[in-house]
Amino acid sequence: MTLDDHTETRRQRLVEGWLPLAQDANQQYGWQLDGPALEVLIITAAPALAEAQSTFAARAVFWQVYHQQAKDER
Amino acid sequence: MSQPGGGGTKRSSWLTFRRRLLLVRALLRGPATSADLIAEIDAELGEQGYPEAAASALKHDFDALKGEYGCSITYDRQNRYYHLADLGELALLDLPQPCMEALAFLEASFPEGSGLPEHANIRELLERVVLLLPPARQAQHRRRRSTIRLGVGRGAGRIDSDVLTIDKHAIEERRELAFDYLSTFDAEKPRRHRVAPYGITFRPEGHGYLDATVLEVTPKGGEAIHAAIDYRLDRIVPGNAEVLPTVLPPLRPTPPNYQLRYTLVPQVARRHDIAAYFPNTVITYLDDGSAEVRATVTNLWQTRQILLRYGDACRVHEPAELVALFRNTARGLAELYA
Repeated sequence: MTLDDHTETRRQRLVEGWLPLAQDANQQYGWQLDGPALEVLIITAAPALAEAQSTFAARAVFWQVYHQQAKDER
Repeated sequence: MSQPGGGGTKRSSWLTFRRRLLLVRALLRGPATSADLIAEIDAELGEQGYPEAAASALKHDFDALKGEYGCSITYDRQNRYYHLADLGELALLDLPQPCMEALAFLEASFPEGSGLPEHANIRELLERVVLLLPPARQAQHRRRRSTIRLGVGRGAGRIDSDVLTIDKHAIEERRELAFDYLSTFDAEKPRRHRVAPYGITFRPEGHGYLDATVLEVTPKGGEAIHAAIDYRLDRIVPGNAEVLPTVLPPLRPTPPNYQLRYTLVPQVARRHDIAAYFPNTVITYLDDGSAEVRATVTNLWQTRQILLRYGDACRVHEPAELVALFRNTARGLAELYA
């Protein structure tokens, strides 16, 4: 197993774990992000998500990262 | 409080005033003993803190706060701490109407008695904020009922805070973790799991999960060794989770990877707004209005749970292991509803 495989495994598990909640926030807040954009959102939010103690905190992390990304794109 | 006089009297009045404000601030953080309060004031003001007869000066400050500002400070004899029950004239926070509505929204979303740790912390915050409001605004807030509320995982079981701390510690230290776990298949007694932990996630319904690779289960069950499992945090038995000395290798054992393929009927797919629930999702909309979705997954149990939300509008074609899981579910449902 190479280091690249390891990184891919980590990415896969990270995205797989967080996608349901990210997708739920996406639908609830009307962000209209597609699959690849949601994956970017999760990977960007990963360090803060690791600190989340609850669904509420994780949602707040997604909210903050989404708005930061939107601001950066302007 | 201040008396006209020389510079020394003014300075001393100001110091007394500042000390009393610091006292209120300390009590806003929570109940405290007289020794704690004196230590805190002295740490803040240094030599200008309490004089030698600190206890009587503290009592004098309490009397002044009650008499001059209408503060209500009670003393718990059993625990020997002081508690700030009402700020009186020092309730200096007032809020515009939209913020009062936001406060009501938070009250409705996180009601008293909702056991989750995060809810408990939000309750504490709300109670502090409300305490800072003048009495009339407090009464207004108590009467108000918010028409909107946030639905965040109300049905989730309580996650033990020690379990969460131990799990996070093991992940940070990259060490093996052992705990007793009561899975859906364990009717009465939990079984001991030894795992390599990698992360914690929360799902929309409010459950928290530990993402871990199974190393050993005692007594053995149906878990495949080296499978990636999402353990429900509220099903880890509190009191005996432990971080083991074994440090994990930097490379995670590869969980089996599955290529997922399912189709959704036209009623669900016709708006071309299908949600992506799995990594590497590729959606193809077909001429008949249906959609074919391909993705990569490692956790078939979780995949089944997610796809079940579509009911009979979704048909799984690959992988065969997931099709078998759905067949079992369908058989069970047929027995229930036949």
